[in-house]
Amino acid sequence: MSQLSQQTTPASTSTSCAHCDLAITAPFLNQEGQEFCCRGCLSVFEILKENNLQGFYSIQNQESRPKKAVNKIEAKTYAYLNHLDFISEYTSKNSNQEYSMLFYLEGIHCLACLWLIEKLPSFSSEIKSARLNFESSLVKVTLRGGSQNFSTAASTLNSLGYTPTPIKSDDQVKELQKKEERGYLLKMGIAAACMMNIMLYAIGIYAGATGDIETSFSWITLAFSLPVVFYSATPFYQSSIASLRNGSINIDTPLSLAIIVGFSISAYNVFQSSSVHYFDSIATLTFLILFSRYLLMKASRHTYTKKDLKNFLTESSFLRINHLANAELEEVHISQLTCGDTILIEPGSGIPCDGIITKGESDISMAILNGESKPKKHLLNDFVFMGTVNLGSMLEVKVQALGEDSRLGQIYIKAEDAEKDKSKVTLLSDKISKAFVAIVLISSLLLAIFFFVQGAPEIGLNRALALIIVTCPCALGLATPLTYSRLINLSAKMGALVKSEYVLEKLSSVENIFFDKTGTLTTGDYRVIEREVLCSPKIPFSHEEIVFSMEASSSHPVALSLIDWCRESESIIKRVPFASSTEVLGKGVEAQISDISYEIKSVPTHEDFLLIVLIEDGLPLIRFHLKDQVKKSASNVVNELKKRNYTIFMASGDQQEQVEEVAKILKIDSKNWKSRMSPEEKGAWVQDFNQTLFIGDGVNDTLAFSHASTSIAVKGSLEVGMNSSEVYLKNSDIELVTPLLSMAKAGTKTIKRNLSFSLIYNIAGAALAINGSIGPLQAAILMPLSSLTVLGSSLWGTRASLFNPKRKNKEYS
Amino acid sequence: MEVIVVLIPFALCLGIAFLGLFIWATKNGQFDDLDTPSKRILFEENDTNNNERKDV
Repeated sequence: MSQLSQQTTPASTSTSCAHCDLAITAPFLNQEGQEFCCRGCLSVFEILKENNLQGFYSIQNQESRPKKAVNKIEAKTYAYLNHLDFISEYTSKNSNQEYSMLFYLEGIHCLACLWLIEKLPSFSSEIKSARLNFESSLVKVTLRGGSQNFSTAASTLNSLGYTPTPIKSDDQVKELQKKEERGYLLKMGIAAACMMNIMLYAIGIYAGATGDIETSFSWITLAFSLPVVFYSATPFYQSSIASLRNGSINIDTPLSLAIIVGFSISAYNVFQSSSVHYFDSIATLTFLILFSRYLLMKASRHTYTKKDLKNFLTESSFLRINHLANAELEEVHISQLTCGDTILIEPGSGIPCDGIITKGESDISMAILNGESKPKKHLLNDFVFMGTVNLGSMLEVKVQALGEDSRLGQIYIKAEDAEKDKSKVTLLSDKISKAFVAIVLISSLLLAIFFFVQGAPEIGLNRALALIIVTCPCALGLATPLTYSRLINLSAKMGALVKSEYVLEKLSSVENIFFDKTGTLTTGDYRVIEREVLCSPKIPFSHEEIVFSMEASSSHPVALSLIDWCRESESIIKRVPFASSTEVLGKGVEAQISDISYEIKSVPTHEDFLLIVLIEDGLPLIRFHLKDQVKKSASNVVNELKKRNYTIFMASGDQQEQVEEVAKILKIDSKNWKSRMSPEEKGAWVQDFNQTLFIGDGVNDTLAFSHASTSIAVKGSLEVGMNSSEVYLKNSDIELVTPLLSMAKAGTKTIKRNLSFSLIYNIAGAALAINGSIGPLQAAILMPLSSLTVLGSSLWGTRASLFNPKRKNKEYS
Repeated sequence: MEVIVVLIPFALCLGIAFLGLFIWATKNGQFDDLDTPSKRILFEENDTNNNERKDV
């Protein structure tokens, strides 16, 4: 790597971006001479200045979160948002006749973003409000006075660097989820209020109240437990009835039993003026369990999922050729396309349908469909598939199949079917509760009978009740959801979105790990691996500076790789002041300066890498070799996993030489990798093994995901990743796999510890209850105590410092 | 000690009143998003123009 002699920067010039504060290698300057790291930051800075929103920077400076440069911004009009069909499906109207639309935003990463987004009304008088949900990156934009012009709002959001994707606001699943959460919160709140009120009066009785006061207090506690037993605890009853119908017992059965039997006998005792009541224990129990489940529900739901095949591409709008109106171009949303339409696919764009090329020819990346790293040339009348990416020049494609009818769609349907067949994993705690419940029930029955036979049924009933209450599965019912919700939250913070607690249990028993190659172990796009310098340029700039200046405004994937390479190889890049510069779509870039003409173009070869040449006045100056490269973190991950005794496999759709090379680099055994696999073959191979984990990118590995015990998706659009796999890595960072597996194991370890503790506690408690040493007071004290201990154990077992990457030497058995 | 005849009903009414408020607030969606409002209050309201105080 040649390094130009360091340019000494004058002390007065700052080398950090005026917008995002990151170091600048190739400064972009605005009219006042301020420097920015990229065009994105520059444009956002200008917009903020124009609209007097520089408060953004003071808030950004208060943030401790790391700052990020703005993503590449492509100007989009979002005109399709104003289409009538679109409006009816995607907007909702409130009581003031004002329309709202929900958008998912990319690029939200700090409070300053929150502040800026909610200042959206200041950009246009039509926008009434923009309300952002920070955790889910969803913003609700409401327009004033019956306006339906959402394209202004969307294009403003886009120009600020937050790419918006419209979301259907009447999504059934989301509505149901919201109702369920609210219902749970209500039940929990009522249980809490009643629990505390009951305790207030119960303490009076324990403290020795007698006579009228004791009677009235008893009745009050009875009254307060009615909402708990008949409203708050209903989820437990529903769940136990559901599992009993399936012929099995789950953890809610002993719970419901404790509550119902406890309430009945305590109520009976109130009528009999006996002082044996367990209302306080029952209410506390209900509240604690509801609380831990609510936390778990919230934890597994902070990701946005949507089951709609039509929306799985990241670009949402396409140019359609309207043959009815003189071949005019109109911008439409993917949901508005129908078979027979002809659309324009720009270079760099994903293809949204199965179809036929009606005009143009181009290189298309099939990687997302079958993992081949080298793009395939497609000619007129060739078939193209949904999901592939057009790398070369503009294409006109006639739509033949969309959504579920496309090849990809069919794969999805097969995957969904496979999912249904997959047997649901029973949580460890559920398995234990079956044995537990049987023992407790039989014991309490025997106890009651024993005393009945002895002629003292009252004592028997009360002791049996004490037994049921004291052995109530708090640890089982509390600890498991708490542990898992902590782990899910922790992994979400790391960037790994886990779908449910069942996934964590499955992850902890994984033995065989399958990796997809392209996009998972390799970067999936072309990076510069070699350069051949042939001559020096005539002008006083380095090769990299010329290439950078010529490609700076292109968004072609190859251009982006070249730009990254130039950035990494130089410390400061001076811009070449070209007189003119043109991008010839699909062919390269041309530029002129003082009568010297430069060209960058790709040269077709039969090698497995792309050849890009910089040409000066017809003579080649430098050649770049671009190839799909193994990720830097891949070797670390594979080695670490091998150390932990996992068997590593690699399944790829790419050609044998490519796959063999990667296998050699990562030291994967020759019998453990296969090449040229179709999505169906991958799925079949995985089925040959047990306890499998498949790690891939969301699209071509869908079948493999559903056939494996569990799966992790690394890349792709959000919906694709979440729908087909059980874990989604937001940053495509496979280094997260090892801490994730550690977490899963730590979770199982903690839960086993909690279960052993609860076993000890229950045996001791049961002995005391049978003995008669436990009355309502003791039970009321013991139960929260055991819950707290179990809670502490869960928190300690999932403490964040355990999963700090620095602790690599810790083994998790 | 007879004051307890007044205190208890009063306490009960107070408790039920707040419970009612909690139920109303939940149904009104005030507990749906607990993180963003905590961040939002730290911002300063300094400018005018088209900035309306929303509530969607």
